[in-house]
Amino acid sequence: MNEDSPERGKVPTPLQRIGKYFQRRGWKPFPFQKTCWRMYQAGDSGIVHSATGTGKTLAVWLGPILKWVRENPNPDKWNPKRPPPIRVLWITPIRALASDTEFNLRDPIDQLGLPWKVESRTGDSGSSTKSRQLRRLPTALITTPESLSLLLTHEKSLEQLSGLESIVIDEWHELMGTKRGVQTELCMARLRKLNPKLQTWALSATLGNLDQAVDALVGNENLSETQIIEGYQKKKIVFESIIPNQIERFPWTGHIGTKMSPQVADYLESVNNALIFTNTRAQTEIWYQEILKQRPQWAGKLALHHGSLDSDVRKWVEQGLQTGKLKAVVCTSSLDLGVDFTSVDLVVQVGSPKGAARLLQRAGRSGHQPDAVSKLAFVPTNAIELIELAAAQQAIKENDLESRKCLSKPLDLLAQHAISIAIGGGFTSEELFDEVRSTYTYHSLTKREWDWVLNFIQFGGDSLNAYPDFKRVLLRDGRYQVTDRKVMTAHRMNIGTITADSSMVVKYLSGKRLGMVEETFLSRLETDDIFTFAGKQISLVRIKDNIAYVRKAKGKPNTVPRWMGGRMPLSAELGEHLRKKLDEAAKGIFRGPEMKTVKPLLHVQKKWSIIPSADQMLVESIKTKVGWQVFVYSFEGRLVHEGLAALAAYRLSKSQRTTFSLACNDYGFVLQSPKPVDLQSILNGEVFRTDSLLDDIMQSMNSTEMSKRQFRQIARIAGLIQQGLPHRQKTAKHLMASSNLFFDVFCTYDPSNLLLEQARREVLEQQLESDRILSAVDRIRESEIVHRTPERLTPLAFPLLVDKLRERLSSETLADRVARMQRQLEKAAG
Amino acid sequence: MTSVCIGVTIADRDFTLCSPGGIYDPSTETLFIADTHFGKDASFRHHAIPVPTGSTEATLRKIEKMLCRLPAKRLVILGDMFHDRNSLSKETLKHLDEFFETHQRIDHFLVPGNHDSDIRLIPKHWSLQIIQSGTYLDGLTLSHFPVTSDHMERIVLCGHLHPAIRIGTGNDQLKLPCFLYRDQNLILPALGDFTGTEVIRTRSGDRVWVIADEEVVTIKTEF
Repeated sequence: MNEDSPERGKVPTPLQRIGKYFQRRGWKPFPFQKTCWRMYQAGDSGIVHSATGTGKTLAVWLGPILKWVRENPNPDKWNPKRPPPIRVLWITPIRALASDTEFNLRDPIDQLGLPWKVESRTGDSGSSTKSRQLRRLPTALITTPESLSLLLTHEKSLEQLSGLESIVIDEWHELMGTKRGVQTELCMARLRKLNPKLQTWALSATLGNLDQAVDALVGNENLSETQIIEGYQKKKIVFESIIPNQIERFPWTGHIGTKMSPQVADYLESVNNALIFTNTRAQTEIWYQEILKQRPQWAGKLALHHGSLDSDVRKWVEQGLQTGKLKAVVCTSSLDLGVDFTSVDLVVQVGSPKGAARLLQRAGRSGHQPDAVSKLAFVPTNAIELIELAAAQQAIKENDLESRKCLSKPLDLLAQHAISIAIGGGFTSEELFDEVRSTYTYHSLTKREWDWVLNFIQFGGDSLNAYPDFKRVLLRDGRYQVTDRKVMTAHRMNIGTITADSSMVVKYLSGKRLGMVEETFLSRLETDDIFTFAGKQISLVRIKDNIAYVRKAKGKPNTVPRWMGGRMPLSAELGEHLRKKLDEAAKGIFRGPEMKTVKPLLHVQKKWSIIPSADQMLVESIKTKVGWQVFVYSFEGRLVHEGLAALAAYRLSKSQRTTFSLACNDYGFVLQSPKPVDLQSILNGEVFRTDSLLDDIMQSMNSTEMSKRQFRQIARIAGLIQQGLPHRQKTAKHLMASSNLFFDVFCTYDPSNLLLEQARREVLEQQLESDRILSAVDRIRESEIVHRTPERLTPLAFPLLVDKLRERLSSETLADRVARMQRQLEKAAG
Repeated sequence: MTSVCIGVTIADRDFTLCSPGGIYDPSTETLFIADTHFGKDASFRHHAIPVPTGSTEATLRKIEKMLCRLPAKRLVILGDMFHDRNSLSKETLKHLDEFFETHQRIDHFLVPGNHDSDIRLIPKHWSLQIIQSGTYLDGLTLSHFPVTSDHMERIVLCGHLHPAIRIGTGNDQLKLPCFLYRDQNLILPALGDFTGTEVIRTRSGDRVWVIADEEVVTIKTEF
């Protein structure tokens, strides 16, 4: 019998029910959604990828619903008072999204009249809800990776979870390649152990390595077929650049393009609602002020949103966006994900997004319906960024999007997971070893590493006599378990991988919370210093009990809070397209408005030096007042250049006695020396030889300091630093030590501790991007190295030198000095 | 590790500052140290936080280095000798037994600090004398906490703060433990090998000496 043909007088088939649901909403199922439902019925696992707002959720969610309706065809027996036991786990990467997800998932349930119970369980859920859920889990549970780990520490939940039919990971691209993603993998392995037929599905943005994304999702011992399903493809995106009236031929990254704010404000007039993405929280604060200065009448209709703001403020902003009450919101990646803002019809991107996938993702935040057009306006903060945008558009056109790299077996997380399992019923070594190795991330875990982890959780470390009296996990009758209630509580409180920066709450004297600012910023402030935060101009009154009290202030702010991190390097994929764009320019081809705009800049570059073609690497040496400068342009992203610059300086200084100072940006690096530099070994590629490459880089950089920084997160995940609950912190203060202190203690007294090795490895992989350095070096060695000695700084050299100056000068004198240099060069360029 | 000392004059009185973090007063032939936090590693292990052993022993070696160089007849610990009640593990006791055994000729004193709440647990055979905070010794006031008062005639020797200062700018920064003289208080750095530091902001009138590896270096502060 064909399911799709309605027959009079009969109970509607499951598909007919779904069809009606779509009809009532005025929708029609997309072919990819039907494919998903079919695959799900067949017991498959897989990934659905496409831009946001194209119906991925229903594509996956209706699969389990259809299946259940098929198994329970008679609605007379549906009893909402007896909801079916747990069938689906839905993992969301952001706690704040759980309630919206719950709302979305509940809609078809209500419409179809299913007796399913849909609930969420996150850090925000109340304790009575949580314990009720433990007794009987709802039919579908929405939760986060952390809360899922936590759930697995409760033995009671395991029996129920063995009946789980499927797990769905929302926004898998966000989790993959992060420690939270690995945490999710470990939990999935556990669930698969409880039910080997478990189906795993993920929703993801399009990635460069979807195959790997599926592998990481389903693990190595997956029994079901896996599918990669491409979602709605016809989403139309329009890119447009807001071109500066006057193009600076000598751009620099320091001033963040607020000069463009009048044009941006004009542009905003023409739309209903807009999201304005900037790359850092500091820029968000600045742009908010600038746009308000342009349009004071927008006060109350303009808002800002970033991760440091108080959650109430953020929620208010999100609601304002949903209802369309806000004209525009200035934000960071904090609004990359999540709630559908259907009314947003324009996305403004300030500064280069540094990756094609991110640009695509952000563009998709506007026109958030399958058939609407996404519109993105790009605001360059310097002229060269226009080339980046041209390159990104090309990459999107060619579907050459960034890959998400997987992590290599982080032991800190494995230790945390093993303790969770030890609490939740215990394990034997072989059993859990096999289970862990069934994940993609730990498939190459060795017995030695596993034994170290077991020793670490049982004895504190692998040398027995170094950790007397240590007790966490006990081995009894071959099973690792935790019996000490204090250990259980402490562990449950600290599950997770998110490292809370040492930040302080910012509050008005009246008690109203504004958000969090990093301690390092506040510690530099004096009382009465004025700064902007949360869009408000405030001054510091006092710091007490880790709270910074502020009051509203008038006058000129001296400073904007700076938050750690944030600056993303140019992606490898985008770097390649950037080199291609320059290659075209070298051949005299300038396609698109962006490239046409930067033509004068590239013209000067060509006149004074060359525009490097794709198979060339340009080296410029220039003598300036301060010394001899060597500029090397490989367009590989800032992190790679930091490594290459240190390597070049290190290897050069072995053969010639001089001190180099360095600066890097996404396009290249500069070495400066007080003496002339013998360039021979750069020009013949000797400096980039591949033998002992990574060792030399580690030698040349302050790798100990970098490891120390990396160790912060490791110490937190491995349970050395217990974050605990805020009110608990005071009593446990004598058991707090900084990760630096732990790092030093391990280096001195237990240097073979594998957590130290992990820190070093993470520095190489994440901070230095060693894979990219290796492939960059390979490419450089195959390139023709072209040397030029221009008389003056070229447009490519100028931003690098400004970065160099920045290290030594205060910001105001820097701005003046740069402006002067800019004028001189403009004059010379004619 | 060689300990290097420098002589300084504070309020017309000569002191010797030693690089591991002790102060020697030649007129009373006394070595002052503070915040040793012996057995902090054991306390952490007791609470299931894996910290390897070794730091207690290393802290004792620092004291012995100074005792070797200096003709001290007295050793005064200015508080926070132990970390907490769980610090006195078998391991910790063993090393301290050895220390007191070896250095019997010297008189040992402890000004209890906020961490030394359970001084009753201290073994009698260590011949460690407890003296109250505020005790005078030849023109010096001994205390764990810095003392603030308008009419101070004596220099206060104290600890508690674990002072350190940050020097350098931008990416090129160092955080170094230091001796700090401020408002008549001469504050010692924490001697314990497994102790953190608190970065202080220098004020005008402060005198600061940092410990840079094995040397004590005078830091110029603005006046």
